[in-house]
Amino acid sequence: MKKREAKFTIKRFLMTNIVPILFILLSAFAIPISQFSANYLIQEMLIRLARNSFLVLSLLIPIIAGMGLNFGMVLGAMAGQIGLILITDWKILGIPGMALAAIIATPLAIALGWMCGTILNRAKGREMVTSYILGFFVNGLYQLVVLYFFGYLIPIRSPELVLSRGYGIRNAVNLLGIRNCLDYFIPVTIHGVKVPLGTFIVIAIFSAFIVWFRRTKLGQDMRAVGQDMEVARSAGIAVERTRLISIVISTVLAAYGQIIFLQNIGTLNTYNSHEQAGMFAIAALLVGGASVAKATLPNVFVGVVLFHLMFVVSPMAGKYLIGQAQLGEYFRVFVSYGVVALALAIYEWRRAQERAYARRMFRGEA
Amino acid sequence: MKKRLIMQIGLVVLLIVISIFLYRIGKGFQLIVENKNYTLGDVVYEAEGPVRVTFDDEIQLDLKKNRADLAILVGYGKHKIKVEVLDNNGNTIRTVEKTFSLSGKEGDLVSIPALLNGSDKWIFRRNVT
Repeated sequence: MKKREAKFTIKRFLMTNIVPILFILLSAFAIPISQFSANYLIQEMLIRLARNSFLVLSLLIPIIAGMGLNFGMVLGAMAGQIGLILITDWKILGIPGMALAAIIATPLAIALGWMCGTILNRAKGREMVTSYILGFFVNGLYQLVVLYFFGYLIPIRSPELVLSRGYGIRNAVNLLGIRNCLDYFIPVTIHGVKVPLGTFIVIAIFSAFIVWFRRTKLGQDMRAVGQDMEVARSAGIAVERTRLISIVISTVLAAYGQIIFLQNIGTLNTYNSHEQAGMFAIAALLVGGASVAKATLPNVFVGVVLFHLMFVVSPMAGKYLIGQAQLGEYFRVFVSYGVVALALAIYEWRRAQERAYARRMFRGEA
Repeated sequence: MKKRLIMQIGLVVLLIVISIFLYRIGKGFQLIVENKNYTLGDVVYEAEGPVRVTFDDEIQLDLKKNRADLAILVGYGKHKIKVEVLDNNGNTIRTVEKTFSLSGKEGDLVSIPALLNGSDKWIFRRNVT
């Protein structure tokens, strides 16, 4: 069989990196129009890198295992939020509060991840849509727990948290006790720009973990499963178990990611915060040049910067260009969902091309 | 199999112990700090002012005479309080330092006049009626 040449061509490069190139061009156009200072943009990007990177990183492991983009990460986000609600009620402050929220969230995320992984093992080839719908299903359960069980079955003492009827959690939970406690754990300011060094250290440790994990036996098994499940099974790899573990790890990490995200924001929107977590993290990863089948650490960081740069500059660019900041808001929602659609379409198109190529090879036409 | 089960149980116990530890070091308590006249039995402790109250070398409150404020202290165990009585120019006239433990429940009240005058009952749980 002839080996397919992976020669560098401009067309191939453009096709592979179409999404980041598009975003770089849009940013290059929008930044001067927005009239933001360099200091402001750098500060915003550092904050958003700290806020979002962990969530986006949690998506990498299921991609290695060939399960695509884990829309089910919202399950982990919900587990993280339950931990945060409890520590807010118990008035546990600072880093110990965050750590305790993570410990509370861990068993919940493991259970939800296990459930998600088991279902996804029964829906091979349709993991993304299944996990997406699973997110809606668990969101219903989450709302039931938070709206009816908290304060009724699960004791909540703080009157600031409980709805006036005596049970259920209020729409907004103030996380003042843990706000920025990790970000500015080590206070560093360079030329007036505050660096959230504490969170960056955690992200660096986690990135190193992913690099190490890919080289472990389990990491290699995941790569093998991701490349071809049948071949991996023939090689004696427990395919279903490996896929299940990848989803459990991703869900647990998403829980931690949501805790880091919300300590940066400082307010928990009880019924909505988790809903967008998956979509925005996935969009950021795709903007960084990742695909459904392949994602790397640089994709994560490039994606978060480009995606959030667009988020910051587009409302102001819209205001100066057309006189309406609202247009920029529409634009960024359109962009975040549009980029997911574009990446999925390109992925399917490439797969169809590869199948066609394989058929031609089989017939001896290529 | 048995070894694995022991490891798993050990891990769960370890997590519970860490959780309790985190709870104890991270628990926040709201404290009412009052610089008002305080009556204990027949004795009336007169408020002095202004005073600067510092908890654990971190939280600082400036209280005028007949004023109160809130402070949030973190963690069970010992805490430090430093009270400086200031003159009208902001210079320190007198300093009193003490260590204390919280009751572990909400609503502890610190009476600055009682503390400055050497009373033992300068911190107590406020009776909510």
